[in-house]
Amino acid sequence: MVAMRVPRVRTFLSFGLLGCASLALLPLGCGAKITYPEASEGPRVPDATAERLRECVDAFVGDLPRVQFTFDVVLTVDEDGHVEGVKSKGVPHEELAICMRIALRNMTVPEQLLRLSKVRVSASPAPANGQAAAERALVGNPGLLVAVAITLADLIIEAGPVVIVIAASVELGKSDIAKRYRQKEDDPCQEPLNDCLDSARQSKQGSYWRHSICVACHARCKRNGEWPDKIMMSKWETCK
Amino acid sequence: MSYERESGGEMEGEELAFCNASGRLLVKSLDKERSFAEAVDDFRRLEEEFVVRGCDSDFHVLETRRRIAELILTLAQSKRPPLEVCREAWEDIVRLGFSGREREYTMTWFFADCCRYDENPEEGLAVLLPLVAELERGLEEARATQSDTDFYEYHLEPLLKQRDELLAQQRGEQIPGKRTRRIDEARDSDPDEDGTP
Repeated sequence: MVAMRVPRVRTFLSFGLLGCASLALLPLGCGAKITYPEASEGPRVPDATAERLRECVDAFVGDLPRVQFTFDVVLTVDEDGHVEGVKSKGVPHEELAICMRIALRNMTVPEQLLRLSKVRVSASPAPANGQAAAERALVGNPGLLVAVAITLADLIIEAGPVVIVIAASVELGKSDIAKRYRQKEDDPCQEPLNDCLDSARQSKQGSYWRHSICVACHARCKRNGEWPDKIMMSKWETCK
Repeated sequence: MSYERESGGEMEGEELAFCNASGRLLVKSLDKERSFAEAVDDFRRLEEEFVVRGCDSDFHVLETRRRIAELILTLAQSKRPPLEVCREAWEDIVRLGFSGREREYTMTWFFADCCRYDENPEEGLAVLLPLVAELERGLEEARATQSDTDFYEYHLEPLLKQRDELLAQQRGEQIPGKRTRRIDEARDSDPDEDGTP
């Protein structure tokens, strides 16, 4: 796993570049607007996600205690491009941080990033010849595939005197965060479903064609939070 | 139009093969290590196999597609992909149509729960309230005519609970014991890393 930490220097660079930022993407009438540093390179946060982040800033801008800060965020993305984990720091407002994490959690990872995940890269976080892991991926490093970490172009949201730099990185591949996200509390319906499928009930017709009593019992379990004794079909049918 | 049939009989042949395969796939898909996208791919492959196997009419093909769509929405409610993805699964079911009232009550609950998890109570209530009203009318009529009320009470119970939770959410209240994406988000993040100056 590549331990990706966005270097602090990005923050200073971003604020420096802010002076010449000229690309105002969404100068809406509701305050906050989105810009990118003019010299920014690489993939960007998708526009829809950027807009949702802007809405978050708009909602909480009045509560923010200082004028400039950087929201450092690392997104963990699974092999299918779904954001599985969001680790962040630097936002001095819990509600704003949650709002921004939700926006990023719903992000659709750009296809260009997903394509990079197919390329083998070294697991070592150490730079090679000054190249970052993602850059090595682009030239086809034949090392072991563990993960690919890619830094997105900084996104700057300005709302009056408040300037927020969103410094996001994407990690592609399985990670501890992804596993932890999957390890939610046990599902009380899963094991009884398995038992039902192993029993003689599995061959019993449900109320509709190709509909089994076991699957119907499972659906009732999901709604009631426990495996039912019986369910109502065209008549009462037992689940246990 | 309802496609309901008598329950409890023995399935056989391709119908049993489909129910065995889809049931096993549901268990596999519910595994925490299996992503929603992987599960959907598996179910789509199963669908393509079984719209051919044992289907000798358009009705059989449609019903097979409906069963697959229902299982995908069930998985969406369990695996919590983004609300847009759950909505797509719901719209797929609506497009195919419901085989009967029970199917609509059940699947509507699943979509409404996706809405609750993502704290979008208005969208959940929009699909839920007409069904609650329909069942409450049926219950009243059954009581007035001293008919069996089991059907209405049975289906009302989970829908009323879901409705009350969505209404509470609309009022900005926390629902004890219910997870939301926001709660999971906050839990997944390191508490030391945010909210600090």
